Amino acid sequence: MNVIEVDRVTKRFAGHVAVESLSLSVPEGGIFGLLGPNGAGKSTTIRMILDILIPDEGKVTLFGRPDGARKLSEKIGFLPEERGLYPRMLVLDSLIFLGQMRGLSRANARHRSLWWLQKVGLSDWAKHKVQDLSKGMQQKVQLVGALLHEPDLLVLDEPFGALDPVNAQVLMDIVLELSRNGKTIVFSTHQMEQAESLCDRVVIINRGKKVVDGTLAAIKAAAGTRNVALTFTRDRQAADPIFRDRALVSRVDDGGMRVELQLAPGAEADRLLEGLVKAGCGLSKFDLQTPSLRAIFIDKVGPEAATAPARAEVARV
Amino acid sequence: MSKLFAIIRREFIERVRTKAFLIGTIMGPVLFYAVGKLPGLMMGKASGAQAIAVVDASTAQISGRLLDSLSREQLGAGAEAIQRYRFITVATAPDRASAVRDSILPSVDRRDEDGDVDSDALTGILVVTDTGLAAGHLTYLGKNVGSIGDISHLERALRTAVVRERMFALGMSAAIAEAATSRVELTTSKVTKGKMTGEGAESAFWLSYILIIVLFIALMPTGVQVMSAVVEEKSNRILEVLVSSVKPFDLMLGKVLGVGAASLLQLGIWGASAVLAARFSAGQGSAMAGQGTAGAERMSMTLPSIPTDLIIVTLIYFALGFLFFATAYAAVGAMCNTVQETQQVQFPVMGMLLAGYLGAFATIGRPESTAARIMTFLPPTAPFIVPTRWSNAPLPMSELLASIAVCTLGVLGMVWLAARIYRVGILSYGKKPSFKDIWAWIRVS
Repeated sequence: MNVIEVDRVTKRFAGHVAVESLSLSVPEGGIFGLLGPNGAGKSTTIRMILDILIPDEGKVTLFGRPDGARKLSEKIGFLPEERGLYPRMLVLDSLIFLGQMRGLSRANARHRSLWWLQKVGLSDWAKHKVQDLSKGMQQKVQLVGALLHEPDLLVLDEPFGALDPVNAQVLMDIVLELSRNGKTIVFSTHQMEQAESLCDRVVIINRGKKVVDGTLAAIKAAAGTRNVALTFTRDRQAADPIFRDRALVSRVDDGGMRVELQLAPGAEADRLLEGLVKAGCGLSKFDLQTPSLRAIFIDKVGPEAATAPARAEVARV
Repeated sequence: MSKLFAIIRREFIERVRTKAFLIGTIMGPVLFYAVGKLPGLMMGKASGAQAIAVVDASTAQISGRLLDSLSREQLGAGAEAIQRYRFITVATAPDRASAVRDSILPSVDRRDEDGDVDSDALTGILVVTDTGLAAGHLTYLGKNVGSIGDISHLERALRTAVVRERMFALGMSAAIAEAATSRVELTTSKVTKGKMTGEGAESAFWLSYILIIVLFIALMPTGVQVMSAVVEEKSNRILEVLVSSVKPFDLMLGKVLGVGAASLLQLGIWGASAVLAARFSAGQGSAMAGQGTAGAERMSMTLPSIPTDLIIVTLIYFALGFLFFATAYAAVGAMCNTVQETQQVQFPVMGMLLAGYLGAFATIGRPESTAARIMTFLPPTAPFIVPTRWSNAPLPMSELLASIAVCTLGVLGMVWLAARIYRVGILSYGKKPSFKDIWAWIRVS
């Protein structure tokens, strides 16, 4: 059974189409990545899945039931993109309230909140106001709020946004642990590195439309091994003329000293290496590999993704 | 249902815990006292016993008799009453009147080095001339001319005295003149349902006056609190989490009821403190009566008794008004992204609130006027008008029920409208919605 079934949903806002005839299925268990550049329609899709926005067309089925997320809220946890807590409320009270909103009793919500605060290292902050916490701590509190009722489906919208690497790891560990316990996790991000290390399945959307859908392994296999990862040690600029040779290289993802490129159709990797050595570049790595998710993303979404279309956010429902 | 209760509970607890609530709860009674005292202050603070120099430039030197009658004016009541006016007569020739007046002038409101008023300083100077008496026009110069209370009292006393003097001049005996001009006072008593309530006209006015102010103070800030709570939630973006588990309607209702409960608690505390204060001052009042200051006399007016039916009617209309305005304010909050934005958008709601408030004041003495009757059947104004009318005289039961029915419909309509605006508005950020947008929000199912 698919936990989420999105069937050809469309959502229009004043002046633009946010999501256009999008279909996707999230199977039970595992970690599902909803990827796309800024303004691609990720949050809108999540809001429609969670019954916050009503689709103009199409339908969403959760746990095989068409009731809508609100009726199933006891089984669903949600961490929205932006911090959503009452700043002047105490941390513990905030969590109890969020637990109650998901159907827990006060006593139970209180008990679980204390347990979770301990687990994420925020026990000392239980009686502090939310506004006294750092952004990262607030995000942890919010994550705990989304987990308290032990949901079967956890939806995380851009969960790593405000987190430093240490806290991002804490969050990742929690997500992986939940996944091992058989929970289904859906998260959206535009950070491909995290998606690549966490997700079993991904859907990439761009301008409201789906461009890639499948397991990470299948997507990578389909992309072929036309990719070369390079790490320069010196004379990086000497490589520029070679990268501009379209008979050899079709696309460059330039990261300065680290470069990922795609060989042109018919071109051989040996000739590239030969050219670089002749040009006098110092190399510490020349790796013929399957493309990274980041490379696939840029390939599919294209450079225009960097310029998100301007839009008014007034809902037309 | 338990979620709705959790929302109400959160809204109530978080509100009651704030410093603003504490300050409001303490400041309320202080404000009431000030508002209650204001009309008295506007009349001017009345002075105590007054020392007046009379420059008598009349040919008949009539001041003796005139002052004799004025001297009987008293301040306070009962055994402790004291003479209101103390006179010093300076007889002079008509052409010397201004010179004499000017020579006494420095004694008026004379101070010592410390700025304290001398014990023998004058309050004012009264100039009596033949022409003035004939024309009914005397001159008074004094430090208390700003006090409407003092001056109208002096005017009244002088009028009686001068009329007596004229009658005497026409040949009537002093006894007849005195009898003819003896005081006439009106004792008023309010009649409700064919029974006397023992209240005077003044206390009936005060009851209506206080009622309107209490209703306004209870309704206006509460509505604004609902509005800013919605804007705050919008800007926190906590709404997304809430809306994914609770219906927007429940969210709005929980907010309105939670804020309402907190303000009811505050009103309850205010009410209790008012009753305690009234008891306390009733005990004090009898001791203070006749102590010699007109101010005490004015303030010791008895607090009108509040009949049970009036309390019930007021509570019903408070509830109706509260639901009407609080949901309207919730809708305003949902349309806006910042508190600044609400200032323009809340204008129509504020207008309705003020219409009721001012309308009630305008019809305070005319409960049966057409305007008052019309406003009885308008949901925004009825919460003010009906309790005010009732404080004067109960409405016919049919009229009351019809008004409650209309108001209930008005509340339901407003809740419906607000819920539709709220549902879409709370998730709309960015550009301020136009009327067209809002119309679209209302229409969608």
